[in-house]
Amino acid sequence: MIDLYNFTIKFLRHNGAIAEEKNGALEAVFPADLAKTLKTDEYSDIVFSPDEKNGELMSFDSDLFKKLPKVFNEKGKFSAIKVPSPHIHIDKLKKRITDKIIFQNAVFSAGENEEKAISYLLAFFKFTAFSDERREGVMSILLNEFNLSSARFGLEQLDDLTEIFERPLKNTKKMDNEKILNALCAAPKAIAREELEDFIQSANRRLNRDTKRIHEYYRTLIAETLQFIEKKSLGQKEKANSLNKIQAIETELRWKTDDLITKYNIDIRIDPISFIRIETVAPIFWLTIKRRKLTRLFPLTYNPLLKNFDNLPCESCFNPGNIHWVCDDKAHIICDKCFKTCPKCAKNYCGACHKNRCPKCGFIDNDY
Amino acid sequence: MKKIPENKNTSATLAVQTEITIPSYKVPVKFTLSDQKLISEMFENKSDLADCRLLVEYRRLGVQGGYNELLCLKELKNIEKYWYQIETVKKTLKYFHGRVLLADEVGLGKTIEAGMLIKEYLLRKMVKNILILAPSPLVSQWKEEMHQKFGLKFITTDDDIFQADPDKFWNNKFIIASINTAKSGRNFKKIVAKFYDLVVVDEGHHLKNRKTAAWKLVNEIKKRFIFILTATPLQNNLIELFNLITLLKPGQFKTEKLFRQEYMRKKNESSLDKKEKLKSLLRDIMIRNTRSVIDLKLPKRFASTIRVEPTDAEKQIYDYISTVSRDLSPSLPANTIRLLIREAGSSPFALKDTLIKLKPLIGDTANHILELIDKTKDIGKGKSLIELLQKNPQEKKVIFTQYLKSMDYCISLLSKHGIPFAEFRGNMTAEEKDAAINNFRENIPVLISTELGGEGRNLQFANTLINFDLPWNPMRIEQRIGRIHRIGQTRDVFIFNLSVKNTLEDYMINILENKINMFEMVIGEVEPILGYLGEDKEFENIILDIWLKSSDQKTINKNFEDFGSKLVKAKSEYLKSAALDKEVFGEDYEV
Ligand SMILES: [Zn+2]
Ligand SMILES: [Zn+2]
Ligand SMILES: [Zn+2]
Repeated sequence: MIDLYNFTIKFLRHNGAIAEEKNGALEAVFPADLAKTLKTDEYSDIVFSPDEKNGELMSFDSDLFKKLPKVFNEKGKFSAIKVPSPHIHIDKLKKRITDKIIFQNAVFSAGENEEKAISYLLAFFKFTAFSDERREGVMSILLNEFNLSSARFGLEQLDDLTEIFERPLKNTKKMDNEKILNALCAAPKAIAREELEDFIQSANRRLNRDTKRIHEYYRTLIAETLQFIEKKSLGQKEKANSLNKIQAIETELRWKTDDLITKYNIDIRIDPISFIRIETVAPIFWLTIKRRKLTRLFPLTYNPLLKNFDNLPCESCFNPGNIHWVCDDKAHIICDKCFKTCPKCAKNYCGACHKNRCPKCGFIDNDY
Repeated sequence: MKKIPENKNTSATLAVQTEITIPSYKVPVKFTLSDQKLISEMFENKSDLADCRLLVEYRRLGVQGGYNELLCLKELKNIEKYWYQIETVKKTLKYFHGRVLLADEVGLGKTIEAGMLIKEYLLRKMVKNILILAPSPLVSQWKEEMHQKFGLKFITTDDDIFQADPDKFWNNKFIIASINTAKSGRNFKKIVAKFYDLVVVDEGHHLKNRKTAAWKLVNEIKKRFIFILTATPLQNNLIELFNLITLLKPGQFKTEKLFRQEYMRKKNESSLDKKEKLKSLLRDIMIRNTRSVIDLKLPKRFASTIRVEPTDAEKQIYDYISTVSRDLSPSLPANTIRLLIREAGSSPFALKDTLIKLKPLIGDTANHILELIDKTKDIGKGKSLIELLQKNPQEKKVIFTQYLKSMDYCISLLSKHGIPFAEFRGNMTAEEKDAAINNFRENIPVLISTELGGEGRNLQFANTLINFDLPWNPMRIEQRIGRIHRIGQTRDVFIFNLSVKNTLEDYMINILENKINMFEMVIGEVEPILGYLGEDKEFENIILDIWLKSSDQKTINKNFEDFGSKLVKAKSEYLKSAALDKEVFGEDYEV
């Protein structure tokens, strides 16, 4: 990942400034409008340490750093590029399909193949998780806009795609916008959850440590009250009082537990940063999928960026994954997580059809 | 949870009890996404790939990873922050996850630490609503500090809005409440029905008793983060500490019975093992910085009060005002009455404007007083002030007054005597203020200043303070002293109070100086002492009441004497628990 120093050089030069390296600092000449936006002099040194007094400070919490969004303004949110497809031996590829594609509960056959202009969307999001701590990060996903399959793909991988294709592509095939948008909103959730795995685990651990402590506390209180009942030869009324007290303790334990759960509640905010549409030409293999009486066609794509087949999509969470099921009602392709088992009645159901509500007993599974 | 069966054989039940496994829980996770419209709009402006890359790189660089860089430091430019305060904030965020007993010794700035934490949590968007609970006398102090030092606007149970609609009041996001008001039946219910991201309890040692409504309130409030502030966490015995800790982390020390068995039996008390165990458990929840570790050793402080004989006209004016105030007090708001008497205590000149405004209410007497004021050229304090200034003229001296009109008088007086001075007024611009302070430091021997109040301008290069008048709030008096008696002061500090004989200030200064020796106490000690008073009213209202209710010298004397005794008692309670804390905690809980 690029560091602040090199980022600054790159940023300034991209925006028309001259930036010369000088002993860990930068000697910069700003174009007039850039100087105005950043409120700096046109000739100005940029320093990277707060101890350095002569120059504009660039650090993660410096004013200069915080002013950069003004330079971006609306720029950088969306761009589109074209990437050439490598030369591919279609027949060899076709033979590899059966190794690559497995359905847990369905069969398929590979039929026609063709070459088509399709597009991928490389989408960057920022996630921020709040609990009693806070964690943020930037994540990205590569979404196939033709069949909605997805893959993890980083900014750095983009560097490998040096050759940029200027030939106009005709009739780029895409899913309709609403479906793409839907996938674009669903996928980051699952990825954020993965990125935040240790954060969530840590909250769970601390929650359970705390609940254990208060359970022990209140149970010992109950035990002490019981001991009290045993020790004294109590009258009916005193005994009733003590038993009432136990009930009160139990109630308090319940709401203390609820309180703790609320305390650790995790809120994850997801904000889009930038989308890069990558158009290319890719081989497509039409699969016929059979599940019980249902059949459907699915276009398996070879991904020229990854130089491999695209994974099957999960049509519920759109998260990249390896294990796939097909649903009984609409032949959705879904991942292992989205082929749910109801924790209450053990019914299997499709997350794309029913979200997280069990169609049989109505139980809502918040912990998918 | 299973219901306990009514069983004769309770030990069997007990056995069952201990075997019950503790359920395991999962933290609920909620997602919030930008709406789809915003996402689809992003496709409307096409830019270069390079711009997209830069934007992503920029956002990645800007991600705030840990707590190593505090966000609040840049926002809080006008207050001094010491390393131990910064460390305390980091430690609370990082290791204590926002549940902490802040138990610094007095004068080290617990309120600043709490304020920095509040600010940090707000900047990190981890907190949306805040409830601060403080003893009644400290409520307005909190409000002022949060506003002046941290730029945060709280509303309080002192505000009219609370009187107007107490139920609606609790819906506000930033609340400072008197703990006495909050714990009363109806408010209690309102408060515990809500969820607070952050609860701050000041003078937390009032939560020492689990049977009190205050303890129950804090126990029942649903909250994520809680800071309990106290300089004296221990009070009388370990059980009281146990009760405090139970609020922060229920079960940290198991039940009271087990706690007593483990730590309070004679044979265990001296056992090193137990002591270590207690310490390590405490270290999980308490931060206690002490003056010795911070190496905060200040030079000595000497105070003396000059009781000034009033001129005849001054005496007449003051007596008139006292009588008028007593007559009007049932019908006028307490604020107005207080203002009249406070101004009269500063100087007759300070009184004039208020008097003109109140003329329709007061009638002819007002005209008479105004005539007297207009005829007055010099006052008793004037002579004493000049005498003080002419002693050691090379020493830098600060004169504090609360009122601009009194300040004007001082200015004309000094000009007349050819004494050079700099002026510092609340309504000057920041640059003018800086210039005044610089001028005073570099060139001029005297600074005449209105209240610096919450402004963190420090004058430790001067070592003499003259209180031309005195605020009716001991903490404010401390603040004045704190401007010169602070880190960086290398010489002994001298404080002179001017009070006109038999005025309210005269009585007030008498109890503060002679009963509790306030002018020689460590700065910050007044606050806990007032807390120990157990009064619901602010200090200034207590003394105003005494003044208005007593019609003759004898009664005034007696009532101030009684109040003085209460202060003495409060101070001794405070000292007792401070000593105990020192003995038990020593220097083991520093950041
Ligand atoms: Zn899925
Ligand atoms: Zn389905
Ligand atoms: Zn079910």
